[in-house]
Amino acid sequence: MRNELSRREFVKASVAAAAALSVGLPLPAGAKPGDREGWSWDKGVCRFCGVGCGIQVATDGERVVAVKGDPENPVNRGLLCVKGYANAQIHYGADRLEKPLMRMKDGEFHKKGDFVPVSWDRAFDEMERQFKRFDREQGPTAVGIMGSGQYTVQEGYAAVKLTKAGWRSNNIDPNARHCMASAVAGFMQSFGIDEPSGCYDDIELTDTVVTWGANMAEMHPMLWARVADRRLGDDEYRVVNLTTFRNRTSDLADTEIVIAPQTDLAVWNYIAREIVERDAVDREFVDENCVFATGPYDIGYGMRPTDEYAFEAEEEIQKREEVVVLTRAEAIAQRKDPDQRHVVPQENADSAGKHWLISFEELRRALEPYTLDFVAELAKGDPEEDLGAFKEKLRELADLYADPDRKVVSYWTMGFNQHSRGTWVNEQAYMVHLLTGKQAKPGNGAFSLTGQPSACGTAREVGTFAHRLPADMVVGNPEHRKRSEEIWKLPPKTLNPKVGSHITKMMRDLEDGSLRWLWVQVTNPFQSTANANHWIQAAREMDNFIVVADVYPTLSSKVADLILPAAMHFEKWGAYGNSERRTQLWRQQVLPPGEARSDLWQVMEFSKRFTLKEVWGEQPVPGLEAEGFEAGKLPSVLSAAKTMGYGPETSLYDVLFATEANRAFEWPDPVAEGHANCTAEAAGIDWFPEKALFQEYVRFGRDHYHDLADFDVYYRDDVRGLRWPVRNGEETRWRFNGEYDPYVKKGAGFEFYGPALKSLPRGDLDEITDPEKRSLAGKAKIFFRPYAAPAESPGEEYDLWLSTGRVLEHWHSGTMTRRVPELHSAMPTALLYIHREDAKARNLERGDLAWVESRRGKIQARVETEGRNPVPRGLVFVPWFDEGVFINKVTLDATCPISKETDFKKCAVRVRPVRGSDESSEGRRS
Amino acid sequence: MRHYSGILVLTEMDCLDRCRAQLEELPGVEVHYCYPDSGRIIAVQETETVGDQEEGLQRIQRLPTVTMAALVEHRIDDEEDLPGGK
Repeated sequence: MRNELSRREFVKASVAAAAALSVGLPLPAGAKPGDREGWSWDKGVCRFCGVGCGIQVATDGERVVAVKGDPENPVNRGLLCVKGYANAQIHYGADRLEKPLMRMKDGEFHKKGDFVPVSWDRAFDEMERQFKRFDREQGPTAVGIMGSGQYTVQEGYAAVKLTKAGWRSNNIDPNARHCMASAVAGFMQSFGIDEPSGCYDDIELTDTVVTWGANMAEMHPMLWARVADRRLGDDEYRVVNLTTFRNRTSDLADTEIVIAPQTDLAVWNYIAREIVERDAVDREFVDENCVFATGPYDIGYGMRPTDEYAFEAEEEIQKREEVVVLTRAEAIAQRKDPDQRHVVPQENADSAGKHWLISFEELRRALEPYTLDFVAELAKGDPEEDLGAFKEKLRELADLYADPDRKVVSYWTMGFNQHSRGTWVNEQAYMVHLLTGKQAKPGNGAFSLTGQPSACGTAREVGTFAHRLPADMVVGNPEHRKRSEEIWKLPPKTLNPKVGSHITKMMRDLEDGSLRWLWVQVTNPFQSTANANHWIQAAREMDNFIVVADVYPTLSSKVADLILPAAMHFEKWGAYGNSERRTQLWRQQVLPPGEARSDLWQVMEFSKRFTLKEVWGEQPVPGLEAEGFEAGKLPSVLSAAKTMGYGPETSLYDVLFATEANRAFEWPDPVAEGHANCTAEAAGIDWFPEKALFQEYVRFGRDHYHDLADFDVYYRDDVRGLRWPVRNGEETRWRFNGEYDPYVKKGAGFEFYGPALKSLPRGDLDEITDPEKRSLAGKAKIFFRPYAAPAESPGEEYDLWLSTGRVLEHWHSGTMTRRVPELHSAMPTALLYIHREDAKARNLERGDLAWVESRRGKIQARVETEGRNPVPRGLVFVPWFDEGVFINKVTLDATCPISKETDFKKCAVRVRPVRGSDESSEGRRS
Repeated sequence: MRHYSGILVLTEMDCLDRCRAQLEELPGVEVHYCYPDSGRIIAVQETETVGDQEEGLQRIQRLPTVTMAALVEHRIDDEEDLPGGK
């Protein structure tokens, strides 16, 4: 007992001393942090959300044994949230996948067979056979990859290169499509370039934080700790939380504004109207740096244009893709007579992103209907709140934005981005910040917080999207294809100019048979895609081949035909880029278990299965129309390839990965300092693939607004990531601002130099009136976007709003966090959060089992009327981490028509008690 | 297996003693360092599980004298059973 006590006391003293040092507090004489003998610490980055907290990770030679916040990292300054602590344990869940598993019957692959362990060779043999079968039958649009904002930079880069340059398919799209595609579209349309102008330093430099559809306290807790620190030390600092139901972010907020779903569109326009009416526009900033724009309203809801595949109950909503009858509020908001019936064909569903210039006076006219009375009545989200009190809150919110002496930062996450008008609402945030000159300045800016550790660094910057190439380039632009073909040493016209399928469309393609072969990497799409009953049935019942690579079994792996075991975070070398453009790299710390292999090894190894003559000959691409290409076809590039030294039998591995330039990066490398490399070792190569591919990738961004430093720089002891563009060794904190951004022309003050979409015709609020295009070089766009009703709203039959989301303890679909027993026990199952009056009206009490049912599917969940997510009457909330409470069977796959990001926050459901006879039915959690 | 966390607590400077006393009344919590000049306290919380750590942290955050509390350092201690089990 004596020894045990002394040991506990020793550990506690060590923890206390380490904690104090981590946050920069001095230690009393004699105190020191103690580590176990033999532990080795190295800097790393957290595996979870997009904040990008720095961690110190300890290994004992074989295993990751401890993590702590990195006091040197400016993001989190030594602090970590409860998920951050799980970075060690997530490697060691009992059911790690350690061997490939394939569905087999009588020794052969069989779609209806059981999973049987197979060798990597056997796994790749079948993958190759199936790929070539479908590729031969339908061409490269029949194959695709679903990737992730959790890819390392190098993994995402390799996957894009294999798909686009190797297979000539653009069917690669990440789960990040569900996360921040609306933010991307908002950036591209407003600024011509992706990602925020500001950075996390704004938290300390501002005096106002407004969260819009962002529960920062639970989802970005370490940034929230910084907000809290500022708020508590400054009586003038203000925090406002706009949300559709109370959450923990409200605890610190000075003002909580509960709005009705979708009405954020109206609230922004009310604020803008106030700014214009009060003459609070920063005229000098706007005149020098901005133009005004708008676009069509009749853009549909990103649903399929046909109801051929709709369940009978779905058809009613599906038809809104073609024709919409405006609600009274929409008519007012769109300057139409509210007493008339307006039947509006959705004629711009396929051209939703087009836009044109308007005047400031047109903007003023468009904002006119958004009076306080109109907006407050529409937007008040809590039926129990007094309308007068709600109006007062909106007025105070407008005061904060309009005050020229107040700095304001607006933060948002999924409440904004997962929105059937997600691009619009992002643009509206910039509208208000640009009108007031509160953008691209220290302490001022609108900022989209990402949900995944490398949604920015990989999905966006590398471009693992169906329409993108690295460094903000796109497949539809001939100049961008040319530049990419030069860097990748490809013959001209190798790259396919036709945009591929976004992730939700890939699911729809599975169902209509146009996609037949799918490789899922670092994501769990069959759990995370809305309206899931369709996609699971398509994957299991149709003639297709689904490969899922993951570290643990998931719902998606159950749906798969072949499961590949992947290496986990610290079992491989990697790089992530966080929300504030900070790129951080880490070393491999431990070996993957069993036969688990890095995703990078998997991509490179599989590329050996293809010769050029199999993939670079003439290929059919239905619907392809582009200048210089025969309709519906990619040309053969084999002759041109020959002149570049590639023969028809040359493998994709040699052309894409083991190039002469890449093989020059030797392994081992001094930066490794004795750390292993599972990719190089499994491949049996003497070059360093993660370094070689990183150095190849950075060529895209240099002198192209996205400069990264060299690989080795990020491993220096004095570096904790760097915010791009990194020019002359210096990172950039505020882009577009001449004081900080090296890309701004000297003396220009501000310059919104993003190059995309910077030539526009002119028009009025309804249409283009002068088609001649004008250059907007250096300018940002202030968009007018109207209020529009959601794709589906509660009515008589389905009478409640359903919102879905995350919880603190679990991350996304819970694949990793549910393996950490303590996190699992803290939040074992997803609950149905419902107002007690709504529960009572349905004969339900806390703890009862209830059906949650929509036009698309139904599940069961336990009722929760108290606790952390008190919802207003009329709205229910169900988290989506729990595959046993499979809420995405219920949700609607409507997307923002511009960004193609799904609106997981709004659909209509009904709730009723589960009867005894129902208990074993669909969705019942065992 | 035991979980230890180092917790940074912020309080008003004139509440430091009261805050310390309230912290020390919580089961499993020990105050190690107090910084009267900045209203900061470093406490250590010992629990059986990470879930208990989270609940314990919330308990600390709800104390009337606490303006902010955040986890800083985490250790799992069991000679026989390192993280995830051997």
